[in-house]
Amino acid sequence: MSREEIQKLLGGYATDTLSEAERSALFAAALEDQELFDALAKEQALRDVLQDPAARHQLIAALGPARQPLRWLRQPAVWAMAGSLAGLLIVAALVVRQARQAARREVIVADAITQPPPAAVPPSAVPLNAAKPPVVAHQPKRLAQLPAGRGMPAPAPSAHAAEARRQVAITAGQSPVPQAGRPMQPMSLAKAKASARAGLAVPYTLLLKDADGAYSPVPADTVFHTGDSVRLQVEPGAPGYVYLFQRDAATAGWKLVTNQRVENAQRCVLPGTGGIESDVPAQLELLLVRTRQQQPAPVTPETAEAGALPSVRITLEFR
Amino acid sequence: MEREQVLLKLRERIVAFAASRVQGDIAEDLAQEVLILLHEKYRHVDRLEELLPLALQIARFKIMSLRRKSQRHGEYTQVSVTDIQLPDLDADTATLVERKLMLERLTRAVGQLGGRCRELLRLKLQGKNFGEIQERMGARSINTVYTWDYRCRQQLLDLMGGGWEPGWELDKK
Repeated sequence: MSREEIQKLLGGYATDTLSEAERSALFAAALEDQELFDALAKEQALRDVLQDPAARHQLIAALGPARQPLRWLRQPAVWAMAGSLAGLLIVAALVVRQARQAARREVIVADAITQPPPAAVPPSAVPLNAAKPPVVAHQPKRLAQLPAGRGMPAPAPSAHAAEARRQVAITAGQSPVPQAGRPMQPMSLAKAKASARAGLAVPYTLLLKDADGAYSPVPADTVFHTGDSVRLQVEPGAPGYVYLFQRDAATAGWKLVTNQRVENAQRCVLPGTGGIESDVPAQLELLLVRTRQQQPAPVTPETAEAGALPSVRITLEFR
Repeated sequence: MEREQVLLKLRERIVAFAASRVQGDIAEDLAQEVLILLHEKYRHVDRLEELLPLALQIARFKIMSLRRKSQRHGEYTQVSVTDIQLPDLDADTATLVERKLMLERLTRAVGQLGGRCRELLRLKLQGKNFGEIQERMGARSINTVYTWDYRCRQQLLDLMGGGWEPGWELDKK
């Protein structure tokens, strides 16, 4: 034993705690080391007191109740079980946290689409059976909102509009089946647009010219006022050409309004200049056709409607 | 180690220890008296493990006796060797009182020890050796127990004012 270790045995001298080997080592060292001998001599006073059993009992009583030895803590099985339990708790906490985060994300989406200003919808785009919101001086160009709450009418007879509403309802977590008289939940037009386009052969969005002269998105089932100017924003999703036809009320035949080349994932607005208008109450029938050909081709509504090309019929109602 | 060698070493250590507390010639005489007693009364004790504690006990009694006598005489000067009686190792009244006072101080001090030190001291007072204490307290090695005990002893000494009994060292006037 080193000198430092021997010195640590001093505390066992007075209480007679030392084993035979420890005692021999301590005493032999004390014979050679005056400092250690002196320390040992000073311990003699305490040793003399502790030789008395009554004194020991008095000190033990003064020390208070004994601590219960936690032997079970030293069992490997206990530690293994505790570790497993801790691991399970951590995993459970992570799962709960992820679930909460997912729920929070959903809430964030719902908050984002709950933007109240009904004034974003141009007066002319408001359905007929809804109260007209006040006209505002400035209207956002491409962030128009679907009318919230009671402002949204029951499903219009248009098949495209019904499809759009169905998609919107699915996205908003509602039943996909439209319920007459039940208002739709508020939702951003961008989201509605994307959802509505998803099921169409040629995804499009109706744009209405507002008071500032800019074209803003409106719902697919919007009933327009006479004099409104309407355009279509088309996202073909593939390079090629888009064609816009309009049925001639006089001849009942189709006439080409415009066509435009589009690149991959490019949006285009049809017609590029002006807009589709009506000065009298009427229903304008449009046909939107898309081709993948790189050159203009002789496209007719007949070939498109025969199923050879992706197309979609659009009815604009002006009152 | 032979008994004579042990006694020679003990004398050397006792003289040096006593000389740090009393005058040099008294320290020599004190050590000589301790050896006489070991030689005459405890001739049968020959193991170091018994001789050393016995020598320390006798030396302490003699130093305490010197201190008391000096106090009685009101002096701290040299005391004649012929006046020093051979001590009886049975406790006298004065010794009992001193032990009682020391026990009271100890009792107060141990109540202020930390939890580990209290447990360690309790096991020591119950007669457990360091190996048993290691097992009871769940220490990784016996050296850990040695270290705990060393620190606890220092803590208790501090609580006792730096020494187990006050004023047992004589002035070297």
